[in-house]
Amino acid sequence: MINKIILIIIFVLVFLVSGFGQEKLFSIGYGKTFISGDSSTFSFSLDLNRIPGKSETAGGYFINEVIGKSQWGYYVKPSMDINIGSSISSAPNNISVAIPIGLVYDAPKFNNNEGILSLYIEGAPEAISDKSFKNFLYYFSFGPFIKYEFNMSNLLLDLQTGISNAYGVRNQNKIRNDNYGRITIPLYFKFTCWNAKDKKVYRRIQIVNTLKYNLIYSDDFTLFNDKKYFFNNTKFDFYITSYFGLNISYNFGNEEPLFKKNNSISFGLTLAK
Amino acid sequence: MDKNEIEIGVIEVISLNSRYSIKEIKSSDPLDKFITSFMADRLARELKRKFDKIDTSEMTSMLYTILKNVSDVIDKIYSIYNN
Repeated sequence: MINKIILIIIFVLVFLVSGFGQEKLFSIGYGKTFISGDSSTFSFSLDLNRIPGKSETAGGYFINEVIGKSQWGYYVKPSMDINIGSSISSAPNNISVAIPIGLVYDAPKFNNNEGILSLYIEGAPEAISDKSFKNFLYYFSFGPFIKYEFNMSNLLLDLQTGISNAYGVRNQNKIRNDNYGRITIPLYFKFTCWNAKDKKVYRRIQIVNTLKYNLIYSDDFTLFNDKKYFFNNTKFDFYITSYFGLNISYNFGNEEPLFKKNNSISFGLTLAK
Repeated sequence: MDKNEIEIGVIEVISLNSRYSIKEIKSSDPLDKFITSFMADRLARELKRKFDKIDTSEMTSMLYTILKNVSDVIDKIYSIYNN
C-alpha cells in the first residue's frame, strides 16, 4: 500500500514538472472498438514529452545545455504519458513516467533545401503501470534515435526513429516478480500545416502516426505467450484555435504493460497551449 | 554587445537552422514562421553557441511561450548582455 502511494506521488510530481512548456496537454474522446464485446467507449490521453519508445524533444526540460562550443549537448527531461479507455480494447490503458537523460548532436545543415537532423543517445529509468495500478513494469531503457525535421513556410514534416533496449522487472501485484526485457523500434511521423500565429484566425491541421515494434526477450511467458508485438496509433487533429482542437484517433495492436489487443477509433477534443 | 550585433547574430542562427536566408528573416516575424516550436530545444542550444551568457535550459522554456517573435528573442538576449 505504501509503495502504491509513493508511486502515485511520483506520477503526480512528474506530471507537474513535465507539463511545463508543453504544446499538447490532453485529449478526451468518445469512440468505438472493433473487437466483439466492446461497443461505445470513452478514452483519455495525456502526452507530456513522450511518444512510445522514445521521448519527444521539445519543452519541459530540467536541463538543456551545450558542451562547450561543440555541436553536442546534454539534457534531462521528465516525461509522462497516460492512455486510458473505458474498455480493455479501446486504449493501451497504461500510465508511464520516465526521466530521460541524454546526449544530443545537432548536425550542421549543408544547404537551405534540406531539413534539420539531430542524433540523440538517451537513457531513462521508466515505470509503466496499468490503469488499476496493479501491474507494473520498471526498467532502464537505453538507445540512439535520430530526428529529422523539414520545415517550410507553415508546413512541417517530422520523422523520428531509433532503437532502444529496456531491461528491468515486471511486478504483478500479490503474484510475483519476473525479469522483463525488450527491444523496441519506434517510427514516429508528424505532418503539420498551419497559418502563422500573427494572423487573426489561427488554424492548424496535424497528422501524427506512431508505429512501435516490441521484441520481448525476457518476461513471464506463462502469462504473455507472444514475444513480438506491434502497436500503432494514428491521430488527426484539427485546431480551431492554438489552444483547442478536434481529433480522431485510431489505435491498433498491443501495448505495455499488459499487451491487450487494441482496435478502436475515437473522436474527441484536444486541449493545447 | 549592442542590439544590432545581437539582431544579426539571432537572425544568423535562425537562418542556419531553417530553410530561410538571412535576407528573408525579419525581426518582426513570429519564430514559428522559420523554426517550429517542436525544435525549441535545438534552437536554444544553437543560440547558446552564439551567445554564451544564455542559460540554455531557461531559454528552452521561454522560446515560443514568452518569446514568440524574433524581436522578443533579440530583446531578451540584449537584456542578458546589458544588465
